[in-house]
Amino acid sequence: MGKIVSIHSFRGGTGKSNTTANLAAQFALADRRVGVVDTDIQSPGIHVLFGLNEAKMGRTLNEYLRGECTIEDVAFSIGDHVGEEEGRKKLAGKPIWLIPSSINGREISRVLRDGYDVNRLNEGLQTFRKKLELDYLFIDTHPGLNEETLLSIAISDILIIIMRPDQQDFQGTAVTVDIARSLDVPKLFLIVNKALSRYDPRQIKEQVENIYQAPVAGVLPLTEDMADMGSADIFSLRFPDHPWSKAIREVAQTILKATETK
Amino acid sequence: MDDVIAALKRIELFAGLPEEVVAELASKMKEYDLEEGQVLFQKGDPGDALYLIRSGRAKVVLADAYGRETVLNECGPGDAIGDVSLVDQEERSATVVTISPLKTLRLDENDFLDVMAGQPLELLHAMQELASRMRLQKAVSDLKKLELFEGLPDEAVARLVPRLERRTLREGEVLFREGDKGDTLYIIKTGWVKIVRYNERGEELELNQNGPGDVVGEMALIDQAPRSATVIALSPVEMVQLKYEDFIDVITENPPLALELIRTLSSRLRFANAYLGQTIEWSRHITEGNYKAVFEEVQSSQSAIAGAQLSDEERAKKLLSAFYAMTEGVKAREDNLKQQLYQLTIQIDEAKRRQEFDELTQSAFFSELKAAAKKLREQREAEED
Repeated sequence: MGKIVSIHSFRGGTGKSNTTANLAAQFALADRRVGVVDTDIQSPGIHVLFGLNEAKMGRTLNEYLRGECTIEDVAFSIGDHVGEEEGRKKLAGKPIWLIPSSINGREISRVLRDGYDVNRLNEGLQTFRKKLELDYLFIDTHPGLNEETLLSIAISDILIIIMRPDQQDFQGTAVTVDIARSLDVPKLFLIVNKALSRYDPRQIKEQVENIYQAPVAGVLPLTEDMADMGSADIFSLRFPDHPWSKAIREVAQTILKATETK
Repeated sequence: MDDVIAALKRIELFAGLPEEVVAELASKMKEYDLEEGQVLFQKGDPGDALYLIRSGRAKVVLADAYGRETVLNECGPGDAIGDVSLVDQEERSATVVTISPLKTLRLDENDFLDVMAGQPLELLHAMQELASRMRLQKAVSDLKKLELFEGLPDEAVARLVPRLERRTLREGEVLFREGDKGDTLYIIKTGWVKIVRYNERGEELELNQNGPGDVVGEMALIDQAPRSATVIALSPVEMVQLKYEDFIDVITENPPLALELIRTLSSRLRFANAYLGQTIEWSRHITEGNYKAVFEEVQSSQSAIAGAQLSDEERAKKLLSAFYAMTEGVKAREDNLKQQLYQLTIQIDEAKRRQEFDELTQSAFFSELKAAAKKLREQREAEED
């Protein structure tokens, strides 16, 4: 059965959506059936990395949550709509689907005001996973520990926590790790993103693993090249030889190995 | 008048002239006076008159490449100046400056030629030949001051003189460039040149310096290959140059000269060995990270007194020191890199951690969630088996 992978950050700005999109893309390149869900209903963003804008967007998670359609109606096949960007093109024909959240202002305020049924969300995810026979379902969450994110942690088979190497992220991640353990998440991985070059990545990995007693799947370097690209394309597909891309491929390998070898 | 005639007769060039001619020349002479510190004539000026000093003193000088004066001679009452140039019409070979108020009698070349025109031709010719020989003798003794020609007999050097052209360089002037076709050899009389090469970035590497008495450019002449380096004047330079065909003739006529050249090449090779040896040694220190050793040697060789007689090793070090000053940059970069590998320290406020965890987990929502999650997992495990 497909694994649910939640990607989580205690604070915003850690590069979570970008990392999620890149990881999902690497899994797709490794011929796994991949789904991505943007559960950050308040501030959705991962769809941009997959080439979706307001014009191209069809059904959204919001409509599903209001009961206006099925989850399959929302699932957008990325492999059939890769577009012109060099990186994304490499996903052509691959089994990778996206469940986007609405970027419509009215939609967002509506859901903030009315809330939604978390059980319905959970059901939707399970259906999405089953119907499309996904090997991995990546859940991109809103930062912080709230009811929705606690839910996604609770239902995850794999939890990935992304942090920057700064004290506030460290503190917040500590609480998240404790919560994850309390919720019996089977597998936990940490990723340190935006690491400055003046730090030795091996030393960072060692320190982090020591403090949290959890495996670090990768230490990703801070890179101007990525900042320059923004969300225009999927970085690790566009620049496969860049150090950041090499590091994210290693993360994918680490997770695949830990998950698939008995 | 008699003393003028007597003074003229004392001039070597006029020694063979008949009495009447000398008297006639004497009568053509006019007074020409100068104050102290005035230039009578400069080296290179046309030889247009002869001067007989009546009273006062003057010095005959040559300036070297840097304008420093060497006094060749001093003259006083009764002495004749400029006789040779007058006769052979060549340029003045030195500069004459008065050192006191000077009274002279001047014989202009036009008057001289008028007088000689009225005499048998052979008389003038004999004088000119004598003047020529005198000039040649001077050239020979000049050349023999150079190490290359020191051991040669006078006649051999005399045969060389017409083949050696004079050449001067301005400070900074390029004599020839690496890769040029080379068909000339140069011998430096005064001044200094540097021997350099350029890397792909156009940066200059100084290989050697040559100065007075040194031969430059002989390699291209000997092996007929293109110039092996670029030569640039470090100061105004006076040289003589010898072309390939003349070079072959000269060597054939004077086999010992070939030996002298071999000696020059040999000492070049020795120097090259010292230079190479030094670069290898310093480079090895750098690859081992032993920058200190190189720094210290570079600094002390740079402060070595210029112009002092240095051994090949000392000279090599001095030339290489500019290049190896780069060691400082290498070390600085390495230090910089070392400094910049910071250590990450993570500090968790454990009390705060505990508190936030409790706040989150003590809600009803959380307890329900935890129970539901447990059920879900059990369900899934069942499905998988």
